[in-house]
Amino acid sequence: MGTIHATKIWLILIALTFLSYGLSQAGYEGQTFVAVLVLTSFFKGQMIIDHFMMLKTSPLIWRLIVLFWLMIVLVLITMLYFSFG
Amino acid sequence: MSPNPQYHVKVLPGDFAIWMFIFAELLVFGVLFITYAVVRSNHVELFNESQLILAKELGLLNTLVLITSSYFVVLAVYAIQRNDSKRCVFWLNAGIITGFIFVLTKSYEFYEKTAQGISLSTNSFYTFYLSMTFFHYMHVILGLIILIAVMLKAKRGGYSLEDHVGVETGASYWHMVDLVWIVLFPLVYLIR
Repeated sequence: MGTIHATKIWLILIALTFLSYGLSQAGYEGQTFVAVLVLTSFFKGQMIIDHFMMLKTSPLIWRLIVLFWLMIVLVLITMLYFSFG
Repeated sequence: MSPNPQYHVKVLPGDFAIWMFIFAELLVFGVLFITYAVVRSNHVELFNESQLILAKELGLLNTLVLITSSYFVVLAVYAIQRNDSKRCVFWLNAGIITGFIFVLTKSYEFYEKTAQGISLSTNSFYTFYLSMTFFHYMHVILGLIILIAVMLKAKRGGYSLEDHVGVETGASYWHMVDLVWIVLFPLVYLIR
């Protein structure tokens, strides 16, 4: 990954952060809002894991451990928010 | 001619020990996040009401600052991979300065909440908000200490194209701090 690619990733991360904040400021709440925020967090986390932590070019097992952590945490949070509001 | 095999060997960036530390930290933060969601499920109204008092714009600022800091540290790693120590020091300094902006903003947020009479015992939302964000804040401070140590060594010419494990180790820890905040920010400040 080169400097230009890193800059693209950084810009996407910034844009997704503004998207989450903007939706929250617009007063959205409920299951669809939770799903959008969780998906946004997953994409942001995956980009940090793959491109900033450079795990995409590391042995697969290390990348999977961190991605699995992110997925489990976000899935459990989503399930709890979907079940109890 | 076959390409240099060195560039095709997949290796973990930085020291192996830091990754054991990172996994342990992720496990602790993961348990905290899920516990927050479990406790919230029993006090949904209280959590939603208390969340409204948080300074979302400061949370947004800190997210932008931490992402940017992580990006600067990535550029520092690229610089040393090109054997450019001077640029590596420059980007590490940029990462450290933005990291300090996070610490200052978060310190102000803690001060503001304390001035409003909010403490760990105010209610269960604030117990989690204060303990999780303070725990993360301590990690940011540790990350900054590591980055400063790496920057000082880089300034003395201690890293090169052949030997820059220290830069990658410090960077990996710093990105972990960023990754944790990527989940913490929406969980505590936004999702309702």
